[in-house]
Amino acid sequence: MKRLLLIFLSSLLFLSSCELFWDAPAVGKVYVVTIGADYQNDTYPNSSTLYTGDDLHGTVADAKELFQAFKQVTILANRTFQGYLLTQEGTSHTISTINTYDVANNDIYASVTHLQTVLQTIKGSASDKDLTIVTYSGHGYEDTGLLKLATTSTSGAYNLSADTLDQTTLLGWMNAIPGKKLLILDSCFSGTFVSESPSSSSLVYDNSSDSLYEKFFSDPAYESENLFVLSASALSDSYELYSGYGDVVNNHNHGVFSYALLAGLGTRHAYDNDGITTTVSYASSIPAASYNTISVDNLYKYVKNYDNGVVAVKEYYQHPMTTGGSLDMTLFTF
Amino acid sequence: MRYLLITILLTLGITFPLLGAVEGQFYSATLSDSYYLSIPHFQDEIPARSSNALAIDLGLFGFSGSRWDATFGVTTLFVTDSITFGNYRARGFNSVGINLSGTYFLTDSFGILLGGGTEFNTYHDIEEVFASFSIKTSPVFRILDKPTYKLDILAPLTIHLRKEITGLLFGIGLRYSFLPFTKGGWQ
Repeated sequence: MKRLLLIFLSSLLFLSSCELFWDAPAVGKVYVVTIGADYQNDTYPNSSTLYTGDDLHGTVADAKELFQAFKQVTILANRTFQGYLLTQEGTSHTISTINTYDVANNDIYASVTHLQTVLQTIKGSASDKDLTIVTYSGHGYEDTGLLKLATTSTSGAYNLSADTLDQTTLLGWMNAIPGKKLLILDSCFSGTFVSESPSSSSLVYDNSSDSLYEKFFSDPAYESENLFVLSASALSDSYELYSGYGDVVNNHNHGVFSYALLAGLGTRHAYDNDGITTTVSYASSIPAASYNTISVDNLYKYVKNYDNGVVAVKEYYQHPMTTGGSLDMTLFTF
Repeated sequence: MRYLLITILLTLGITFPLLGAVEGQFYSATLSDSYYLSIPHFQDEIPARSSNALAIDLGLFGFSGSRWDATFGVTTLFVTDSITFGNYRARGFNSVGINLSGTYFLTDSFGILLGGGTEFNTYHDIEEVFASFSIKTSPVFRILDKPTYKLDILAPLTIHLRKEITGLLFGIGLRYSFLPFTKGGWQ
């Protein structure tokens, strides 16, 4: 009996000291891909007349500022940054615009094929130690959540098959990249990209206590996720800031979710008396961080509760979602 | 709901046969703080992750005999995020559940507690919930034995059974039992 107790106590002591004696996995490079499309260059079907009904005003600013914000955070965390900025901005609609493709730190036209190329490039160079963050600001189709990237048609209607991305394709491309991955979506119905956890149930959707216990006893088993998703909405629309507020006239609007996310990452917008952005600056401390760490849950919690007195995420009828289960993924440690 | 109903019926089934030997009824409140060791059932970067757990148990229906007591009540548990290690940390959560526990006293001041229950758990930061079961054992050291109340020190060891993690909790606690309805005292 005494020997058994001794073995039990020694095992407990060994296990409870894991964090002290186990070697933490090394952290590597940070790849950041930010995507923003304002759809101002697409046309009516069978026409060269620009179609303005789907124009967005904050997505390009989202992509550009998230690119900078993640760059600053990566520098603060003493890690190497490699970024790709994919945008479709303005009404320019020529072959050369569409084919613009450059390496890191230059705008890349935000088409499906360019995104695929970028993700394949990262796949070819990333290692298990690296972190890849992809953000998307743009339209998501009603119910399906399909992402609408920049059109590659130089005239005529939007090409639905060539210019949209579904969950399986994008998550498949990202899963193929070694290391940890985070997909951030500021688009309508982006909750469709968050798969249901095998071990827990979302309170955002209807769940009875029966489903909890059934989940406890059922397959499949939980596995730690290498790819987390943070979405602006569940199965609903997501919004840009109210048109009466801020810089719509100055073409410096933001998605509500991205605005809160930027604030959480330390991006500060200074406004003049008319609510026009005068400067964008980056804080040396990160508001969303907790105990010198930024995790997916830190970002989720910060965004969901964001209220700066003017913009409050809860005022918009969208509900951010993230990957469930027992583990939270840490992104940066300072 | 079906599983919850089965658990309640099972609990009552165990409790009622004991009622014949009841000498007193009591309410109790137990406060304990434990080390929470998450042992994953999946491949993780570390064999186990460490958190802190604070538990408050309320014994709503307590019955006592000459050398034993049994309690059916509500249990709450507040578990912190684990220490960050590598690329992950275990999410903190709050629990509320029902439990049944019994103590058998080997001497006037020392007994053994055994208990079990089921819980409904919600993560702190994300809106996800999960079910769990728990089994608890503890030595019970009676430090105050008055006609209307008792005070015990516990050193509970709890196994918290979750789908993807087995939580091992070991800590220290204090149990206060209040006896408004006794038939001639505790023993």
